[in-house]
Amino acid sequence: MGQLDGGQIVIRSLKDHGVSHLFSLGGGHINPTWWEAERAGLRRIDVRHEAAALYAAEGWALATGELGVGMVTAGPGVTNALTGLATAYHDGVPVLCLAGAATTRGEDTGEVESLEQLELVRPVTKWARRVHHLERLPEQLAVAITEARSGRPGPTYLEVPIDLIHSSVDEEALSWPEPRRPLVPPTMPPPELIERAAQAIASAERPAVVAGSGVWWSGAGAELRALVERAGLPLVTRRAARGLLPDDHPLCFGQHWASVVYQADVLLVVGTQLDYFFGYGRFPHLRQLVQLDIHPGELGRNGAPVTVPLLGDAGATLAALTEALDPLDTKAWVAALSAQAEARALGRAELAAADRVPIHPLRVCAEIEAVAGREANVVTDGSNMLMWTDVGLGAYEPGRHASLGPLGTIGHGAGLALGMACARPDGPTVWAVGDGSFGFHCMELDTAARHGLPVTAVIFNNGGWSAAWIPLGERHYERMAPAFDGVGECVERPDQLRPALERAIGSGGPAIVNVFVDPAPPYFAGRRFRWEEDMPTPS
Amino acid sequence: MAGGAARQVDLDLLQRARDSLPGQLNAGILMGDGGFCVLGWMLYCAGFHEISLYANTVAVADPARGGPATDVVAAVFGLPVDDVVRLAQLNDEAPAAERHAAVARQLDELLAEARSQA
Repeated sequence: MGQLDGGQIVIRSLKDHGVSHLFSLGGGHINPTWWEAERAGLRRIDVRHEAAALYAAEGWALATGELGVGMVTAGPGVTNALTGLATAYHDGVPVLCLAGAATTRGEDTGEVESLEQLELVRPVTKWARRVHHLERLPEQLAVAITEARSGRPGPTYLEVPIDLIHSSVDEEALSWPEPRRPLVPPTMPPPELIERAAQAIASAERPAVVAGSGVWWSGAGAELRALVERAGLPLVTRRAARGLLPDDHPLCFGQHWASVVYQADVLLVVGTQLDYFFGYGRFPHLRQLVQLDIHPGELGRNGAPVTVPLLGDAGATLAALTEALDPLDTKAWVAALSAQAEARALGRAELAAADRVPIHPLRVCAEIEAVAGREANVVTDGSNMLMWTDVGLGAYEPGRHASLGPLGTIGHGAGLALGMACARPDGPTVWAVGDGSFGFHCMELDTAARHGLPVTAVIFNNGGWSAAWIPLGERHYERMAPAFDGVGECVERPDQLRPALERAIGSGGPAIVNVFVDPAPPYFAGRRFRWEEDMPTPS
Repeated sequence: MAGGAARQVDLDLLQRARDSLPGQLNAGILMGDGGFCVLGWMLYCAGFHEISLYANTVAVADPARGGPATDVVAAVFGLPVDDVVRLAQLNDEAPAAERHAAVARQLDELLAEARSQA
């Protein structure tokens, strides 16, 4: 038995819990952990800004369904990481943030990087603690990991003061908790509520399922597919649930929630918040709203008229619902939705195929899909441009798509892309980003270069911030690529797009494809879903 | 929300939206890409917060009055939904340089028709 310092305890605990990657920016307050990570064989991805460390941890979690770990130094390291924590908190992503801190005796002395960090992070974490005794570090880390993963996932935070992380303790004074997940069997609603939910769905003329991130975190992709296919239910996938059924599955209508939910009369909403991004759960033609969530506070949020609240794990509950449901006759309803989707797709295809200059954003999406393929990791980053990427970039596998979350953070795509590229190296990683958002963390392409991560930034460059229409000018960001030993491409005409993307994505390293797109592109028709006229009369 | 039936048109509100119609309208996004489409502008004039319209083509995100944009405009202005849909189509399909004039003309026609029936 020997002595272990704080860094050795942290890394051994992380390895015990299956952590293989650590996204971090080094600093004096976390040096022992930083050094031990390398010695112990954890892959350490050192980024250029602490927010990106947390974004990358989030990207890792979104791609794997498992915990992502970020580590930052004290003081400004923590304040820089705050937006990453807040983003993960609002998006319900399991992330652990390890932080350095000033010495235990340094408070109010003017010690470097001394800050009331816990007070800052508490509103944007599920659980936040400071380590006071090195002997308790393995236990506190285990709790932090369990809290991040359990229930509705989210970020947790653990800080170790610099005097503690550098100190040592006898190994025999330590105990190493077993990974705690799962502590209990998946929770289930009572059978009578399952039955009521099944009856509500079976009684519908236009039933549909909306699957959100909770399905992904529950690992319930197979149960979702079984329910949808057995009962013939149209499906919308949102956030981390994107790709659980591929967008080209005959029952999957991608993430076009409005096109389905504004026509549905009975909805089963699983693991998704009834928030701004989901119309606050108020849909005009709804007779019954069945909501399944792991978190009681989400049921009927914002006063949404939930008729059957199901509190429980997505996988177990969906399996029970599948057993309770017979196949339904949804052919006409699905056919009508498919016809509408096809009409919209035709409108989009027309815009995507047009050889107009400046280039339509949908053309860029079409070329990305053609070159990157179905196994690409796709991160979309921006605000207005998401209107194009949401419809123009399909999801065909789970854990391959990430985009703007409920907090509305932009510029985080570079970090997300790093995490996804580490987690899913079997496909290229495309960071589709607006020229405004590109500026936040474009230096992470340097991180990609140093770690051999094939991240291609495709900039939808419309010359400004679209939301506020503040011009940024006609910038040639592709000229930054040589600084990272990467490929830089400028695209002004549609015929240049595909070869530029092929060179960039094919390079296997970081690349920038700067596409000058139409700042005022025409949209496609489809303002209203006229179900009164489009729907067949029920027989 | 059926296609034809309408409540009393809110003439004052419609006139206000017409009189203040921005010189440039975007093609089909309630609010975003540098401005409003006609539906977005009408909703803005009716007191909807910008964030309930932001970067959306089809939906108003409002916990009390939200829904499909065309339905919400029809309900708030007392217009037939079909008229609102036609207005939206005109906005989306008109060339950018002619959009404002085309939409303004259409609003004038709606106002005239509503006044003749008042």
